[in-house]
Amino acid sequence: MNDAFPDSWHKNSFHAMGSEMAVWLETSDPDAAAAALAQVKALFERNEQALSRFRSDSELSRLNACSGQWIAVSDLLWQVLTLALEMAAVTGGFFDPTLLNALEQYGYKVTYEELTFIDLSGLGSGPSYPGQWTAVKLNQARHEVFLPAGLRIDLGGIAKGFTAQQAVNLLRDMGPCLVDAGGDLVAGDAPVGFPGWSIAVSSPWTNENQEPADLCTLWLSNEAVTTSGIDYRRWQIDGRPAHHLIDPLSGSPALTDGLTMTVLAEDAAQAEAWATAALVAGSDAGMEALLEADLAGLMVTQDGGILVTPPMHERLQLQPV
Amino acid sequence: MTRQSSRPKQRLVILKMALVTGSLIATLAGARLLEQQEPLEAAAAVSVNQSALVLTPANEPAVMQLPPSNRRTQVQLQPIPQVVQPRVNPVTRTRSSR
Repeated sequence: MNDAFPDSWHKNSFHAMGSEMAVWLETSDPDAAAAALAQVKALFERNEQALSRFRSDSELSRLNACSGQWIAVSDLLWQVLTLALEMAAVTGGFFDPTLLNALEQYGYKVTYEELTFIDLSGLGSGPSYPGQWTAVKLNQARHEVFLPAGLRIDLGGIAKGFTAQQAVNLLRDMGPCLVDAGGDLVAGDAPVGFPGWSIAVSSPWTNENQEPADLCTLWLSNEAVTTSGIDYRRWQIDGRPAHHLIDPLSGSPALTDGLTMTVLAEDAAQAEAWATAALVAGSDAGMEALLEADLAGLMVTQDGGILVTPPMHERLQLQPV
Repeated sequence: MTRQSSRPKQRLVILKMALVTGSLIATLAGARLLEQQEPLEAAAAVSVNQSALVLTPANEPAVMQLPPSNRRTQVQLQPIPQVVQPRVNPVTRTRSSR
């Protein structure tokens, strides 16, 4: 990556929500930039405290522990949960926030960093936990949520994208900005002199210790791009491959021919939901859905193919010959 | 004839001589100017003829056609090689969660 940025570009990096975050803000006021970037870090920490399924004292964990009864939730949890359910409706259920039981059944009961240290043998068996997003009940007037007994929520990527979007909204009045939430990118205005923030789509065939290779680059401004993939967060259970993208129909890791799915959208929630949904659905159904939604999408298939929708093709800057 | 009555006549002669001389000088200068202009006009005429010639076959690279005018011209553009397009290094990249 290019570290030779203009002096007016201010950057902050930190760890949050299980990912490495980076935020850029273009302004001529370094003191104001430092304060604003610190606010963004605090925002991620605050939201993680409320929305993480890995923290037993988070508001989300408390909601999950109270299934079978109406529970009043905070504005933050209400916003993110309703957004996730809206995305489930838009994607026909291929994105579903009610898959926590299935995720844990297949081993993802701790953070991915800790996953390699636990015994996974015998997991993946027993009853299946398909998605049940339509079973969640909401009382908008009272901001109350009813989860059927045993049903549990995972907000995962939606929470990360939502927070990244909040960060951009916080910074945008100060100047052009870009938030990298562990590979989910949300951009404000383009930096001065550029048509957008220059970002690359990473190739999935890169080992963690190697210099990353890029498939293509594009300009990003006032939009979001997310990549969902099973190229990295994957493991084995008794010799069988497993990963974190659960098929809502089966409650099992999706049997998809896709490897990664990159989607551009107006906001982070749409990009996240569609990237996940299209990858879970596979190359035929997933790309068809993106075409119908007129979204810019790029799928890398497991046999090495690259599929792009016309809106994505228009945006790409091809790599030099 | 007296000295006073001869002065206006002298002035008139001098004036006539000045007019004739000036006219001759102007004529010579104008001729030289015309001599200088003729080659330029000839060159311009040649360039107009050359730029109006080009008509590219359909299988040639893209042709840009200028708005209609009384001098119809076409300019043939070569496609810009991809390798020389200016590139900006990416600030960051999108990838699946690590």
